Amino acid sequence: MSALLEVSDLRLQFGGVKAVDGLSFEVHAAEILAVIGPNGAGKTSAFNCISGFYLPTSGSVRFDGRNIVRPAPDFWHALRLVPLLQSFGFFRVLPSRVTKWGMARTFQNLRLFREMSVLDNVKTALHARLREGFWSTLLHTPGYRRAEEACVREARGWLDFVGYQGSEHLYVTQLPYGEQRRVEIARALATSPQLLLLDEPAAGLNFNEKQALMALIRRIRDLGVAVVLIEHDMGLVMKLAERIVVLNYGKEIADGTPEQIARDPLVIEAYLGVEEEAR
Amino acid sequence: MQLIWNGLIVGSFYALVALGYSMVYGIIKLLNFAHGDIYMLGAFVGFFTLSAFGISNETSIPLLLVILLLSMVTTGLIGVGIERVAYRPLRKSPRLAVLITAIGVSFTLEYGVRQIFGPNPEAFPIRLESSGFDVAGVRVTASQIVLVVIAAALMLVLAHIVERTRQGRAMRAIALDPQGAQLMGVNVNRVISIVFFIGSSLAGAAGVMAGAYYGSIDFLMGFIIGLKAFTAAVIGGIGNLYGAMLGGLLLGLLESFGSAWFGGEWRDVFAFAFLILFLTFKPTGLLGARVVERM
Amino acid sequence: MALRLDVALKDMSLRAPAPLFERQPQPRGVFTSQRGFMLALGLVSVLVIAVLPFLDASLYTMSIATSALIYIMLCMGLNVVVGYAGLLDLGYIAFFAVGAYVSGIFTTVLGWPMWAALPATVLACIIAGVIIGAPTLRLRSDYLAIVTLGFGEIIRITANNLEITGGPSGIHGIPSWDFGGWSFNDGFNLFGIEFPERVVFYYFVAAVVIVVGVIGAGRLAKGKLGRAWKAVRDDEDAAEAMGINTYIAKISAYIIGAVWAGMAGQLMATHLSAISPNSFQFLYSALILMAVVLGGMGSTPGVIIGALFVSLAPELLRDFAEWRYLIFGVLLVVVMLFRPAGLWPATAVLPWLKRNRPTPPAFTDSISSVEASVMESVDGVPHADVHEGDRS
Repeated sequence: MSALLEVSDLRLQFGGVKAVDGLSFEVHAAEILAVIGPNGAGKTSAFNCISGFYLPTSGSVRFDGRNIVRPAPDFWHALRLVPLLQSFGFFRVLPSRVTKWGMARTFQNLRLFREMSVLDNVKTALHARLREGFWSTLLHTPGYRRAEEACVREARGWLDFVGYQGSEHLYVTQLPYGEQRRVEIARALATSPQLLLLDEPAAGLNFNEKQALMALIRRIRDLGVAVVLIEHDMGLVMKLAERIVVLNYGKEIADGTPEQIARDPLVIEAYLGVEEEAR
Repeated sequence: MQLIWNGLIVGSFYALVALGYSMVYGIIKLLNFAHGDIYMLGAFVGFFTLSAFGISNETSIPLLLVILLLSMVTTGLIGVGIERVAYRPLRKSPRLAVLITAIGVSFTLEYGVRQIFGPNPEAFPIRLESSGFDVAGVRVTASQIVLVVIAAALMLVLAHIVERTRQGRAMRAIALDPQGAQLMGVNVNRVISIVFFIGSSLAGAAGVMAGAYYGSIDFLMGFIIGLKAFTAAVIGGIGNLYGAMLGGLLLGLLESFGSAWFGGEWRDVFAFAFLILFLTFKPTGLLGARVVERM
Repeated sequence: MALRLDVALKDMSLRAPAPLFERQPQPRGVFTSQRGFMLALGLVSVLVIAVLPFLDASLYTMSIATSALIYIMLCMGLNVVVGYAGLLDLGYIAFFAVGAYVSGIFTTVLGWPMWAALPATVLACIIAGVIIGAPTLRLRSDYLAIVTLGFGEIIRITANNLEITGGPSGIHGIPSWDFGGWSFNDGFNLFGIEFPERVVFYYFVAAVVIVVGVIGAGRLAKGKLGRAWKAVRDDEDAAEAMGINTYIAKISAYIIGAVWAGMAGQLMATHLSAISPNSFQFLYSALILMAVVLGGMGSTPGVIIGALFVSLAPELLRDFAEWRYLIFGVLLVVVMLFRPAGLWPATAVLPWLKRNRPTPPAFTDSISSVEASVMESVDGVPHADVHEGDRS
């Protein structure tokens, strides 16, 4: 079975800093993979490369048989025009395109649309899937009404799925933090993904909320969606993940089941440090 | 050659105003829209003081220097006041809000001056119309030399402040990381005030010099020069002081040649087209650092 | 039902489970719902506009009212750019100028009828919008502001210098609208009531402004495009992550704004029958921005109030005419400092509805029990249509 997401030898450099340094892993359909590592290990940078926000220095990312990294021909490199052309959308895949292909993500610190209602936040995620043209919006044709109705239905379905119980007309800034997290996951799901990237979904949640989140992530997997999460809460990761990738200093140091990872000497060293280096 | 010399004169005005733009932008990422109007205020402060003493048609250079200092102090204080009243409460607000406020401030200054001094251009009391002489086929007047020397001196002083003093170090620290600087014990508000003071006084100095050079001032004179100075700051790389100086001089030269080739009425079009081209193809400017966009 | 709705969605590999919970229907009354009240308010405003000529059809009143309506159109266009998409445009008057000049040139130099110039105006504005937007919309918001300002000046200076635009004196004798022989100049006679030219034109402008300017922009803002604009305004990266091509979203907002301004420009050209570069100074860009900010960015009633204020204030406050720009400047700062959302914020809730406002969910302790109930209802049931019967 070919993998849904194949990351191979991914490298990302900011000036002299190697944020990601030769990362390779695979994600298969409907599995829960956790990416862990000490702070500054390059997890979020790797996520940003995979979802198209950062342009990796080298390496390849294939999602569902399509290349997300498109290297520019040497000709343009020689002319030093690559960054300019990339800013116009050449030699890169825009994050919006990646999302349309079926990869959704959430952000480390909540990035909801602050001046929109809960329902509108989720409806926005249906943008790419909605058949709704300029003229039909202006004229309110039956096609437009149908599209809006379908859109509201989908959005409500996802809000119920994640267990959001408040009013859908509230502004997201009025919600407590845990509820905002739920809405963000509902919003990501509404893009109809095959793969969901969650960047520290449990950060700032209390015990009950974490339990609810774990149940939710399992239910998302049961829908047939692969989930990749970055997380610091080891308890949660060990219980939830089917496979774990460990990063340190932008390098992958381990890849295996939770049991293997817990026993891996390199991982223990990265997290606890070896005797000599411990200060 | 004549074109180059003329370009340098105009360019040094642009550079002085652009410095203020660039400093303020570098430190709080605010595009101080009212900066051009500070330049206008500088000219009017000079005008007001001289008229109050009944001086007109004076040509003395020492008097010009005194007026210059006075205007610099006044506009500097006005700049600090503007920052305190209009920008500081909005420092955490969305960028759009601060920009709109800056436009409001600009309007207030322009039409406030209009209410006080009237809508018509005023003759600036000091005129530096001394006889010129030819150097290598270029017509040079003493006043031009004086202006260029003053501008160069001001820029040197500024470079010294930023590079060598404690406050300058604090400025550079805040530009890199305001929160980090605050944690290191830098009084951020104080430093921002100082930046506004320096930037505004430079613009005020440029205003007085422009008044003395062109001979007439009006309440809208800051608008176009503000735009041009911004262009200069962008060409040089906004946030970079040497970039602002370089950009100002370059823009002056470009305009001087542009108007010679295409006709004076297209001069402004030429400058703005350059701005748009630069922002499109090299938004970091000539000397600007490549900024990594972080999410 | 489900099938019919599916037509509206394309390649959804993953569909949401049907909603689990019944939603309470929203109230629809005039005083019990925001929507109903807004509709009623809109109807009343339309009535006021329709009745005005019967109260006072003098040349002065009609002229002022027509200008005010055109201002509303202009402000609604800028509202799309600034209010919805969050892009600060300081050269907005340039598009107004493009509209006015293109229609003026087509009707006077080429002798086309006014209605035939409309497609040309719209096209010219789209092109202008793309030319200025395409290279600059990738930039950060403050750069964009300055570039648009420069663009506005370029257009004005160009109009001032070119031969075809009549140089500094502009274009004179722009004809009114005529439709195969009958023109607005002929007036109109209905049931024995005489409608002179200015009243007919006033009604025409009112119809365009209400239908295209206000309702059209409002509808766009509520649909897919409008949600994309607001998403870009609130958080560009998150919008991109939601599958919105932010560049296209921004440029579409820009083009819509340009077209709205162009149509307003064409109306203004007809209204004044003469245009000159002086009417397109930066001052006016700032005034329109001021109207939008003062009224409330992104809020239709707010923007209309702002437009009326800015266009009528000089007429009502004759004695303060000298002072008005100073007052506007101070007002802009004060509004931004103390009421940044404007007089009628986009998120405003009618005061008497505040009581019924939904309360935010409590700070979760019972969440796990909720989760259990949700899971019960999902587990074991194919996640397609759980409550299909209830919802259709």
